[in-house]
This record gives sequence, structure tokens and C-alpha cells, in this order.
Amino acid sequence: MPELDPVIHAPNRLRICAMLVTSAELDFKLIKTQLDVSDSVLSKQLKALEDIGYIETKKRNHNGRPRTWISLTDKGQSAFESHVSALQNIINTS
Amino acid sequence: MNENIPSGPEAKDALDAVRNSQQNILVEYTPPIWLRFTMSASYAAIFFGYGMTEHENNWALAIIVGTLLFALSCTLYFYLYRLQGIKIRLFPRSKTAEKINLYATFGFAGLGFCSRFLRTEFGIDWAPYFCALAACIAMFWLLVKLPTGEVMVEDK
Repeated sequence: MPELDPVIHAPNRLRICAMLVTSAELDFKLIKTQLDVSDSVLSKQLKALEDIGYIETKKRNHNGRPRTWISLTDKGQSAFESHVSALQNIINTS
Repeated sequence: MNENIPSGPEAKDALDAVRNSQQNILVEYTPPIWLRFTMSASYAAIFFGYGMTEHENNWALAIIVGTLLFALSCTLYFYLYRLQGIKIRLFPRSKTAEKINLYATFGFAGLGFCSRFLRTEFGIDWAPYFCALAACIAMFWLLVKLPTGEVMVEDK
């Protein structure tokens, strides 16, 4: 029986994981635009996910500008899938 | 967490938010349609050329041109995504996407085989046309439905 993950369950963190599942890596700016939050708010959400090992962040230079790329780890992927299954179970049983 | 278990409508809202976020990523940042069509058409040209080639006739050129164009358009596809801040995964991670990719691989291999075999062994001259068209439609469908190679969370 899949269980809800308290770290992922926060709305912004759930949306971050949902976006990260669709690709290998996403740019910090893109996630910020999609969530419509400030840099500090997003950094805080990412830090919570990174601390538990659900995401990885890498800084790389692109045309001389530093860009932060975020990716979902295997642990994060399975936690997200389990969380989504738990949500679907709640919907099906209600 | 037990005391914070969401109700049915709350869980539905959370899943809707997941789907909307994924939909936005997959729709808003998708490369232009002409690029996806070029990828599909050049991919089909490889199948068609392979089906029509006999020894060293001109259709071999279709394979070469198709391969070059397909490689170039794929590179541009990846590059455009990267410019927008999305790095595509070459090999999908979700099981559903893996399955779709596996079926697609076998399907395209089958089309490539039939394209040539049916024409040379059974004299079915329209086989390369049919297989190339099928490959073009299948590739275009994959690029529309799975632009980054991964599937979205679905309604169950």
C-alpha cells in the first residue's frame, strides 16, 4: 500500500517533482517561472527536497552565464510515484 | 502524516496540479511543429530508401540524406529544449515510457524489415510507401504525445 510522502505533499514541492519527472534536468529559472515564486522561496523548497535526497542540483556555465540544473534522483522518482499512487488510492476509495 | 491525510477532493486537486504542471512543461516548451514534421519525414525517408534500394541505385541517396537530416533535426530538437531550460532524457525512466519505447523499437524494426522484404521477396511494390508512411505517422505521434520521452501522470 503506497503511502503519502510528507516532504513531497507540500503543493510547490509536489509540482516541482511533477515537472522534474518529465525530463532529465530542468533549469532553476524555468521552474521558478512555472511556479511563479521568488528565488528564495524556490531555493527553500529545493533545499528541502535535496536534503532528503530526492533531487540533485548542478551548476554549469552556459555562454558564460551560470545556470543551475535540477534533476530528480531515483529515490525521488520512486517517492513521487508512490505519492501519486497514494493520492489515486484516496480518490478511488472516497 | 496519518492525521493529515487529505480528503478525496483534496487528493484530486493535488493530482490535477501534478497534471497541469506536467502539461505546461510538455506543451509550452515544445519545439515547433515543422521541426517535428522534419524529423518524422526524414525518418520515413530512411525506411523508404531502404525499401527501394537495389544494389547502388539512387534510392541509397535517400537513406543517406534522410539519416543526415534526421540527425540534424534531432540535434536541433535537443538544443531548442536545452536553450529553454529542459534537458531531455535519452532513455526514459518511468515503466510506461519504457514500454512504449520498447514497442516503438520493435515496431520500427518490423517496418524496416517489411519495407524491403515484402517488395523484394513478394513483389509488393507499394510496401516501401506504406511502411515509410506508417513510420512517419508513428514518429510524429510519438513526438506529439511524448515530446520529452516521458509520460504524464494519468487518470485512473
